[in-house]
Amino acid sequence: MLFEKLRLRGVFVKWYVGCPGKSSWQIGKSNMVVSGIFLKANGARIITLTGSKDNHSLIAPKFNKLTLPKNPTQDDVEVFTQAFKAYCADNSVDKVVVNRRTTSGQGAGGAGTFLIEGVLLATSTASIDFIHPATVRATDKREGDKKTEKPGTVDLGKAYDFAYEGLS
Amino acid sequence: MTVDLDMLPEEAKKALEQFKEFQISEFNDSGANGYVMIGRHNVLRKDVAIKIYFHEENEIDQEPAIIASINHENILKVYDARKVEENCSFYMMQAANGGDLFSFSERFHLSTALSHRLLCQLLSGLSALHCKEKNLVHRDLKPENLLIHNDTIVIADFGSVRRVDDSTGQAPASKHSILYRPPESFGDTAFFDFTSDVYQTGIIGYLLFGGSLTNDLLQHLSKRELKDLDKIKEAGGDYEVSVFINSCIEKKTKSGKLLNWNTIPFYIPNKVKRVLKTAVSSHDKRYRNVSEFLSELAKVKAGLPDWISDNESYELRNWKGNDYLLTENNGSVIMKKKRSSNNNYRVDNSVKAESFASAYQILKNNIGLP
Repeated sequence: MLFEKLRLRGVFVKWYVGCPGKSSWQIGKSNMVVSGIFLKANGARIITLTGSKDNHSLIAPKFNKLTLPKNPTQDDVEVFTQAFKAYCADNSVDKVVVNRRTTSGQGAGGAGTFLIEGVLLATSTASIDFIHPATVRATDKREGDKKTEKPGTVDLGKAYDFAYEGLS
Repeated sequence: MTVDLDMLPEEAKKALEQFKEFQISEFNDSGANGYVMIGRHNVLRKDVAIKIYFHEENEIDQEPAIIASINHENILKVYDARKVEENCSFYMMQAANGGDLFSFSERFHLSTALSHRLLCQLLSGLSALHCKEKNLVHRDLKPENLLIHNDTIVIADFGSVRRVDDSTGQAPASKHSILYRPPESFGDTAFFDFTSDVYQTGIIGYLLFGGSLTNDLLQHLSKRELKDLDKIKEAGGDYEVSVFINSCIEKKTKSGKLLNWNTIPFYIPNKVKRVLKTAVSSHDKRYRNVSEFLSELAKVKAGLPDWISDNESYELRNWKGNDYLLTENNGSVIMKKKRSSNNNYRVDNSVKAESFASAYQILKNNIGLP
């Protein structure tokens, strides 16, 4: 909860009680900018949306992929971080939504996604939320017709699904 | 280095009076609009630089305020700012132990990996200026305005920085450093925007990867233009001469012929050149922002061979665990090879050629370079 409303002499007063990962200017922003990231192998597919679930649009569609080479060096991680941070700064990204990795079983995520997830968690200036694919499936059943901007390709489509979950 | 305090300009003496804790070791008056003093801050116990600059009377310049508002490792840090006179102020900033990028690249041979890293750092610093909250364009990015501190690039000289208009996405064009001015900064409708900084960064990338761009403007003129220049010199004054030279550079910039891509060393992969060429192409074909440029650089980083050259030999370091050295021996180019963990090179007879370029082609085919 960001604010607690207190009734003082008949007037509601808002108290800012803090929210980890967000700066005060982000709070109350009408059009959130949300990046959805689908982690697969050693790459991150990125889609960024702004607006609301009912009415949203794509941002920076040219930038949609970032890769971290296998067995990355410090330099590789630094470049990946710089590119991701610059992307967030250029587009004023408020929130990043990433797919929740499966840690065991047949569909368990590999080392590549594990590394990228760690890099994102350690360096992202925007707050990061994790969404389970089951949540996306539930949303598709409930309000799939609202996903008007969904890209045609499978991986970018998944990134879009995660960004959509982050919209209000 | 000791500095004769009596020889310093009055403004520098006054600044030193205000900062008793500062012990000067170097004085530089090569800047266009002021002086720089480098020395030791005895209380902070670190090397600092003081920049003294001139401005309109009763007007405190925006420069230190802009720097202080940005917290990024690739943007210069400012520690203090004060006024000397009505039209002169100074600010104290971090000192860079590598000097500016221009002198740094004159003193040292840069490896491909370091060049790539410095270019990415520059773009990363720029993103802090371009972000929506700041909305600033630097407008004067060139090697002389970039500092190197512990092998890290630091953007300096914010005298030309302007805020981009929210409605048009543009700022007024800068007339500084004609060689680095993008095509859109010339003419009646001249403007600067975020992609203009991308263009200037592209030229810096071209230089970092070994491209050649002389600061001597006359060398950019064709033979015919030089003949015309002689006629103008006979008839007119210095102003006409400078206008003519600028018009020739403008023509070259607009036609995209300012940079000679053949001067880039043969070992730089084509994919790197492609990225740099896109960065310096015409306004509508360029990367729209620094993150697009950075993502392309991140793509080419994978499998980028780490070459370093001193023009007498070319060394490829740590390519799949081996180091390779191309060097001249009795009029022909031979190759030496070693494991990266070992110290001593051994001659490898698989490569022998007339020139470095042909030896490189053989090596490229043998070991699968990009």
